[in-house]
Amino acid sequence: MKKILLVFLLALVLSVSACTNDDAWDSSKNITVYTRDTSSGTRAGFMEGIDFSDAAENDGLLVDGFLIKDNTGILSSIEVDQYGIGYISLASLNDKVKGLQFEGVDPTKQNVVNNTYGLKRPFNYIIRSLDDFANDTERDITLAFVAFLNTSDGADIITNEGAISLSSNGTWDDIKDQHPVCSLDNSSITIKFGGSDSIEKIALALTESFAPKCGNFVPEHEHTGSSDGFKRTQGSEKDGDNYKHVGFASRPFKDSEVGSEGTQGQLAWDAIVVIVHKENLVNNLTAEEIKKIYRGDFLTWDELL
Amino acid sequence: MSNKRKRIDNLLKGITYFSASIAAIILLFIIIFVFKNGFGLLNIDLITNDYHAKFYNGGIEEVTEFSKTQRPSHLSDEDYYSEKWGIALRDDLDREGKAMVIVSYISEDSPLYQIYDKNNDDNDEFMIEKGNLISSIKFEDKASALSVYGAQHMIQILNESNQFREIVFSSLGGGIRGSLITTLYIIGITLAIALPIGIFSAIYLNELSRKNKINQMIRSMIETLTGVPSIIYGLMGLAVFVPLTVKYTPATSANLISGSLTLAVILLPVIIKATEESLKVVPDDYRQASLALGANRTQTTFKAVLPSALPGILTATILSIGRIIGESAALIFAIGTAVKDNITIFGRSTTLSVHIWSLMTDEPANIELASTIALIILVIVLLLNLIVKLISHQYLKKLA
Repeated sequence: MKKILLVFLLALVLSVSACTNDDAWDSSKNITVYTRDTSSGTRAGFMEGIDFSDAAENDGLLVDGFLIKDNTGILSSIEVDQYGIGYISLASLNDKVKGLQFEGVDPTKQNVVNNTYGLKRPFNYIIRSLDDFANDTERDITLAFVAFLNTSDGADIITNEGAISLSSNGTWDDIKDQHPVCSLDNSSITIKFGGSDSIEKIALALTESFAPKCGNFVPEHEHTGSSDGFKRTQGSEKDGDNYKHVGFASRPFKDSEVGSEGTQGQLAWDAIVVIVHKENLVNNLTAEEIKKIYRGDFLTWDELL
Repeated sequence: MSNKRKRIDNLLKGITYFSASIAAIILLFIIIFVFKNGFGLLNIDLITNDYHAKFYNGGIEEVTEFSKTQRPSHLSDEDYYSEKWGIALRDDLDREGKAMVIVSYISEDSPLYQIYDKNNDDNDEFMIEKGNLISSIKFEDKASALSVYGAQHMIQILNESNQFREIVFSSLGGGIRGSLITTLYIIGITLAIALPIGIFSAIYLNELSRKNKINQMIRSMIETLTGVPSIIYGLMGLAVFVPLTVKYTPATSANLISGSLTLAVILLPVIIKATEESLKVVPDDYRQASLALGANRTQTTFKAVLPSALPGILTATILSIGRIIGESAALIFAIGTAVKDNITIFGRSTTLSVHIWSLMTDEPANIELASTIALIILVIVLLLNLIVKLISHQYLKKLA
């Protein structure tokens, strides 16, 4: 019994001591580069922002030894990896990591709204073609939802959820008379929302708040990534089991994703923030410098200080 | 005993101690991690509440009389109180870890009792209650007071205003009632499909079948099935069971039945193998005694062998329930990832483990809530284990 306890304790001590790391920051160390995978809208927006669009869907152009993580993975890795660099959405930024200035501008909402912070991406929506709805009620509710997105009531919800709303015109009260479908009882109608998972929380808040304004229709959310936004509303899967009425994309729509007229638009902006470990001495990076890090021209932090 | 021999013995013994403690430590770490992250959010409301918050839009006529209630003494420093409107608000974090503003007190003469439901004119019982979340207060002439700016800001704006256009408040969403019910449904339906098929196949293979090429092939195919990654079963569910259920049931898309059918296929090898093992350990004397007494083969199997194998079959059932609760990859395809509150077996919804998946793919991921759900899953599995242990214990007593 004593032996078991002893070995148990030893293993415990070993595993705990392996977790601590008290070294001071050493700028001569190699940079660890983190990135999202190629299907991510955040990656597309980031690569676009640093003028390295070719790398949005091509891992071959990136520095040797880069690491692919999801959003949470990048955040938690940078928390402990002193020499890491990664990027996340502004809404995810917390005080456990250091958000860098981009071209000398702080990553704040104000700076995105006043258009000085350059590293940002649009949050877009797309709905089914107007003649492709199962019935008029579903179409009218979808159109009312799109109209709601452009009101100050919609903008308030977007702001509450941490994204940056566009300038709005008017309130829902002003325009609700133009959408008579919303005064009916729609509780048997299900409207399906999908696309980008970066927009899931915002979309959920929007529909939860909008449903009671529009006859209590049932919003169903299934968010699986930006590329499904177009695919499941007007693209190849529009008539499949996973079809959606409204899709979202957390990046600009591609040339292959042009829907029929008047079915696409933007609902918000999101800023992307380059993050490093708290002890990192770097405070500001330019687009050119970030591009060089991701391409592999800069390999150690020394070269940037 | 020679010294060398002793050393080798001790070394081997040491290795077993070491391996066992590593396994124990890893399991302990997982449980500690889940507890540390998830215990804070664990409460009965989480389990009974809906996932989707219910929103209300309150409008107000011209206010003629404001509240005269002084700040009540029982309010703490964290409560911000507006004497004019007779309401106290407090900052808190919701289940998603996002800032929210919660009503902590509302006085009896508050003008907020005069608000009417903007979405339903006939709703007379409409009012704000303690515990509601206020998400925004909107005005005609100035920017809205949003919950993201905090309770203090909201009270300050309220104190400056005599009128507002709309107050939006809601219940606390984020509950897992829907996913929990789905999980229980899925367990029930899957077992109802997989257990009979699995147990009877095992009886056939072990008791009745002859040793020939075909039966050997069936065996090795079952063995191969165990190694197939579950996501492939999910694809099969999407390609076969979803269209099948859409055709023959009222369902219009992926649904609980297609999910259960998919899971049933995953479980078959587990159930067949475990049942076969428990049939194998039934002593041959039982069979021979029964046959000697004049019972035929089928009677022997069902009256003499099967009852003795029951504890083993129950173990197979626990194993499969654990597998149903834990399975996520296959279900992402076979029933979808939409979190729902109103569960029907012909509709979409998610089980608890897919709910964890969808929480973790959010931006930012909600590790706390995911851990809480993991904790609940652990508790359910533990309870099921205890129940089955109890049943088999009772049963063994009866047999003896």
